[in-house]
Amino acid sequence: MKKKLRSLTILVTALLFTAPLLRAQTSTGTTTLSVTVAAEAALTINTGTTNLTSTGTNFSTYTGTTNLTYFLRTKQSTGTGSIVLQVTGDFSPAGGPSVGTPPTAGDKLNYSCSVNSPGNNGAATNCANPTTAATSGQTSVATFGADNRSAIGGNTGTVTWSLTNDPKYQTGSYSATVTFTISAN
Amino acid sequence: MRKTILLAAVLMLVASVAHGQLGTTAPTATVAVNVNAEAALTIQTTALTLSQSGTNFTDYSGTTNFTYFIRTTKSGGTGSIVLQVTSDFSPAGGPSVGTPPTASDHLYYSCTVPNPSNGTATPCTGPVNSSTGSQTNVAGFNADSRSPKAGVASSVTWGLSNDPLYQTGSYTATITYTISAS
Repeated sequence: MKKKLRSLTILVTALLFTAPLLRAQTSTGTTTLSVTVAAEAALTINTGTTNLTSTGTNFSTYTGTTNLTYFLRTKQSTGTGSIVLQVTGDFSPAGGPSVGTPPTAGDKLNYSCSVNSPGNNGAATNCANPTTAATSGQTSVATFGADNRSAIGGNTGTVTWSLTNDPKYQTGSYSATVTFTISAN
Repeated sequence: MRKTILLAAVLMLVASVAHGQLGTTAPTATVAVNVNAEAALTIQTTALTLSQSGTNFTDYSGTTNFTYFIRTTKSGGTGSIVLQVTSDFSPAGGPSVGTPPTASDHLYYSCTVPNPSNGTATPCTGPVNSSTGSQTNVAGFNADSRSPKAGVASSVTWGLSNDPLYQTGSYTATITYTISAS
């Protein structure tokens, strides 16, 4: 009986000592997060409306500049990227300049490009100067090679326009819509 | 003869009493248990792939689902769920929590942690930027918090900056969740 009591006393004492150790419990689990970073591209046109102007009265060409910011990431080894534009809405109303059906064959909406290289890696190849805009197809603004990566805030570029000042145009205000497209793969 | 009968009667009486001292018809025993604070966690989404739609550099996102089990001490008890990026994104060239290529790049999250059956869960209010250097909060629990036996379904919704600077490719990081109760 004494022996049993002694054993019980030891057990109770042991439990009393170990109980505080059991109070705080911790458990962990792990998970992995994976992400596939793909080629991407985005474009912001900073000059929503570019007013082409002509100085003087000698039929000098109308000029103006459209500013843009681009975001780009091309594939590491085989990637390419491009910025193109197209006149998706010709000048209107009728009687003035026209890209699709100019009143005179030599009338053109030309542009030159100054697209800065991506901030983090790669180089931009600007369009030929001048390039003639078209309603029927896209024309180049800039191209990019593999593993081109812009800054997180984007990189800037400009398109400087030049529109023939044909005396044949009726006086008035005319607007055209130009759609810029950036792509990356 | 009278002496013999008397002795026999005394012995029978003593034997009866002695038998009664060896046990009862309704014995009792004591069973005791110490119910301590405890906590456990099960992660259902053990491998999450963050994704994004479109091509305009929107952030990558995804959700990790987990179930927690908790019991905190009745008076003065607390509990918590925290997480830490215990292995940064790899390989190099892509996102990084510890050394992001751009200072503003983050792996951030918000928390959906419903209350246990008893007590209150206080989920993080996102966005919380995760870290490789320390644990960050997912949820806290007050005293006497007790989840149901099946646990409480919860989630962490992730966001990852989509920096054009990241090289194309696949990158993986490891997140360790820790739940504790006292």
